[in-house]
Amino acid sequence: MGHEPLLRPEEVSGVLSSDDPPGAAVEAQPQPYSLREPLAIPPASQERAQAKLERIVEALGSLLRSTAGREVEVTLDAMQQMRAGAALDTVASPVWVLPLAAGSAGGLALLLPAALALPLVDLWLGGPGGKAEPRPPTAVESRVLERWLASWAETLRRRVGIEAQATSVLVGEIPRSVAASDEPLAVGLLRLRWSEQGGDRSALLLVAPALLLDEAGPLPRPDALGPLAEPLAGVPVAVRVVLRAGRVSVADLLELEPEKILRFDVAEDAPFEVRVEGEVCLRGRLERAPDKTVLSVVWRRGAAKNAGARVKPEEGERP
Amino acid sequence: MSEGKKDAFLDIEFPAEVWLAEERVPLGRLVSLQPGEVLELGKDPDGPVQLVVSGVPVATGELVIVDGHFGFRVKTTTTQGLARAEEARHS
Repeated sequence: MGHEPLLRPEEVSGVLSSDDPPGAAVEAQPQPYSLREPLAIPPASQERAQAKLERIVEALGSLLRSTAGREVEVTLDAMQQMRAGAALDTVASPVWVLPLAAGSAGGLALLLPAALALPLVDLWLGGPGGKAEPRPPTAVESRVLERWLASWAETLRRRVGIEAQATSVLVGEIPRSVAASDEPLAVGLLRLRWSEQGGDRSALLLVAPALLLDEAGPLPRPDALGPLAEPLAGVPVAVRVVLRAGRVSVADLLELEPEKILRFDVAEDAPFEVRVEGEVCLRGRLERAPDKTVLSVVWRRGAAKNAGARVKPEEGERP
Repeated sequence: MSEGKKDAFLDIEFPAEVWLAEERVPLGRLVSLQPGEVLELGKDPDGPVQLVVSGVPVATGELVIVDGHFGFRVKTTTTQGLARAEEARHS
């Protein structure tokens, strides 16, 4: 993956002059897989990650409308993956960075060129939202933005299920609580428009991949658990992830010693089983992200037809 | 154990599994997972896994790929586990 800038030079100058040409959409580029530039979101999970990013953008748009008190349209033009530092370099300086930390998962940040940030602050303060010169925020503007960040964190928690905390507004710097400079992130190219201003304004939304891949806890599908969804959805269930490795002989077992490799007759793309109380609920293939392990689900247990899918103890296996 | 009995014993096979991870997942999350979606595990990708024979953990090690197949590289063995596997065979 190269560091292809998301904003073309003409768009950057348009952002700076507050005069983006309308409809100058940036096309989503195909995402090649490269061993030198590993993706944080594997190809099989891209669609799902983009869907969650779209929900984050919807929540952002809703918040902007409610806090600005007028119609603000926010759209996601494209999602790419790039390193945090490279994303920062694509936005015209000084870059206003509005970060939210989400614990060990990383975080997310809105990168705004000053020419977009200043009119937004005007909107939040009830002003006209006019053009603005490229400059960093004043102390008052930073306080306004930090109060708005707290609202953003609450909106994300409520609408998207992301637990994030507001941090300080920065200029030209992404805090490590969001991402390290060389960390690959999902980067959304946003377009913002509000009626008084006309034209499109571009901004970047950086999101740690874990926040797009992990939906643990919130947002169970409402129909999946029926009327008991609310109380049951959060009940923790112990699951065991298992690779069925065939059969091994006593001779093999007696030869086990450190560094000895036992080869199984199981292809490397064979799915693992996810078991609950001995029942196979899911099967998935192993994928490795930089600092975590994920299973890409290839099969899930049906409602009733597969009720007999319990793992039967094989001969000699303890019940 | 005589030599003849030992030889016969060596050919006996047991079902084996590798336990990759044990996690607690919210029920809502579990039932909503669909093919194509991912279940993120808290496990370190290079962390240890367990070789389990007849339901008994016998060794700790790591998953490896050998000629396109999964394999298990032993780090430590569990003597007690081996003894229990033998016990299970006799029961």
